[in-house]
Amino acid sequence: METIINNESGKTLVVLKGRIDTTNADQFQQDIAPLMEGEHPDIEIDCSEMTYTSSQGLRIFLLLQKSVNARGGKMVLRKMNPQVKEVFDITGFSNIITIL
Amino acid sequence: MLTFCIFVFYYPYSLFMGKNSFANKLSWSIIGIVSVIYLAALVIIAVIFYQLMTDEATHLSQESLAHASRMYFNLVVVGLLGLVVIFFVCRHVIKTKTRPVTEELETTSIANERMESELNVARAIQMGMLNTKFPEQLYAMLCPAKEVGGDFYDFSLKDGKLYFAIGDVSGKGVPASLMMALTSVIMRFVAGLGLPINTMLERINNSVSEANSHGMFVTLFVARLDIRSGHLEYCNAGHNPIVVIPPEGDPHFLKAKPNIAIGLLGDFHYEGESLELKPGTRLVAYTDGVTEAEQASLNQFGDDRLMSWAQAIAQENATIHDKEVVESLYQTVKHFAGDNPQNDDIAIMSLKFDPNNIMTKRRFNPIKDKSIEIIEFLMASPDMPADEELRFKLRLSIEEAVENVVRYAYDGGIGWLEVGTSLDHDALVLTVELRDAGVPFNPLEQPDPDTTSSAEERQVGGLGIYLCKKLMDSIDYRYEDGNNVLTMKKLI
Repeated sequence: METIINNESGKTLVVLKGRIDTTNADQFQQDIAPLMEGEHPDIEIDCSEMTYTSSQGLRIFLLLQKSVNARGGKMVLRKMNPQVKEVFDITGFSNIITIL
Repeated sequence: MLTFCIFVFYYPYSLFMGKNSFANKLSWSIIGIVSVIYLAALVIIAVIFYQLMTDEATHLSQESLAHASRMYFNLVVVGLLGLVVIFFVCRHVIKTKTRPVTEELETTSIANERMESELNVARAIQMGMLNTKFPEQLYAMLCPAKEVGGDFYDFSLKDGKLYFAIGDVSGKGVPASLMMALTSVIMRFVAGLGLPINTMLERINNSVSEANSHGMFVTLFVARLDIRSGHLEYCNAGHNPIVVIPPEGDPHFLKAKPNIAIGLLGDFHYEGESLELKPGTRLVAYTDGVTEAEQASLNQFGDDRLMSWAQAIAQENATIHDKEVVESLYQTVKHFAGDNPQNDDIAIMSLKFDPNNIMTKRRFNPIKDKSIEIIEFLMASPDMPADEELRFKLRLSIEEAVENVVRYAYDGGIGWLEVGTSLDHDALVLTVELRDAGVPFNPLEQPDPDTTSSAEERQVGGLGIYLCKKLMDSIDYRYEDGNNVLTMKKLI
């Protein structure tokens, strides 16, 4: 699991690579800690290379979305692989997280 | 007088009470007889004396009469004292005369009792050496002719390979049972080495030959079956031929190259062979206690009756279980022998090659931090489909179910989790099973998360089992024998 975070003209660009599962969910949570800070965040996450997430990963996406909403910001997840998208759909996460 | 009577009658009585030994019973009888004779003599003397006294009474003075009465009383006292003396004398004489005989009798009977109880313990130990944790594919039984015997069987299922063996030590009773114990221990050790089947037999033979001081021998059939492919490797060291009951066609004996029995000749080169079994094929192994079972008329059960029995079993081969097969053969042999006592040990084993619904399983203990290892084990199962999309859903469901146990079943993850997969090749249904002995917990009773609520309302937990429910075709929970059992199925 690899998390790359770049800031470009007020926008936070994130690239997620690999799998989020029981072994690295805690690491993932630490990696995205910077995204939990700052007012009116504008976050865009490239999920094209994220191959898998378990409920542990979903939990962290939900915490992040809650944090972004609370700070009056916005977040989009892009290019999600259809299998991972299905997991977001099944759990109703597609309704509360913007996936483009 | 009362004290005297108590001494005379109660003391000897108390000496014997609570002692039932042969010597005491004998001396009591003899003392009784002698005492009765003595008392009878005493009574006769007393009667004669009394008659003489009463005849003379009219002629005697008052003083003489009183003297005669005292004499009469003295006679009674002396008589009773005599009785006591007789008692002790008889007892002493009897003890000295009968000691060697009674002691020998008592020693023999104690020795017999001890021997019997030791044989019973030996039998329990021998039976305890046998593996009785039968896998789904196999069943076996052992019935020694005496308390202990020389027949044996063994099996183990590991990594999809079912190893099984049946053997018969020459002779029966205690000597055979000791040889049986030696051979089965060596065999179990060698079987764990994963050697080619003929090398296995050679190792067993060399070890048994070295330890065989009395020229005994062991006939042995050893085989290893790949429970998925049906590939059977086997080697027959002088044992009765195995009965093959194919799904179609007639039952027959398994052809095997001749090899000499174990224990006769060290460094003998054993020849193994192999065969591809068709799904549904059943193998029945047995010892000569079956074929050589005798009626009172000395008629033997023989190969022909064995084959007739196999023909009958072949009719219901698809539905009958191995346990029923084994019991059926045993009952057929017993029925044939009738009242004639079993003259040799009997061992019977039945197994069936059925590639459907084979559970590939493993127990992990402890499970703390073992989630990935457990998930990888399941994903590596030969039952798993190759399709990436299916594998994604299976992996996710497995991870959620495993995590659920690893995190919550035991305090601190200290406990075991047994996981397995099986595949119904006809219905194409994959089954994943998880079994743990943790806190009884039915995950299916937990409420599903509300997938329509907003991010703010949404609870962080409760997603794992919900994913399993949605990604698999069915999920069931049962609490069985103190275990939580979760079964998930997926059409593949």
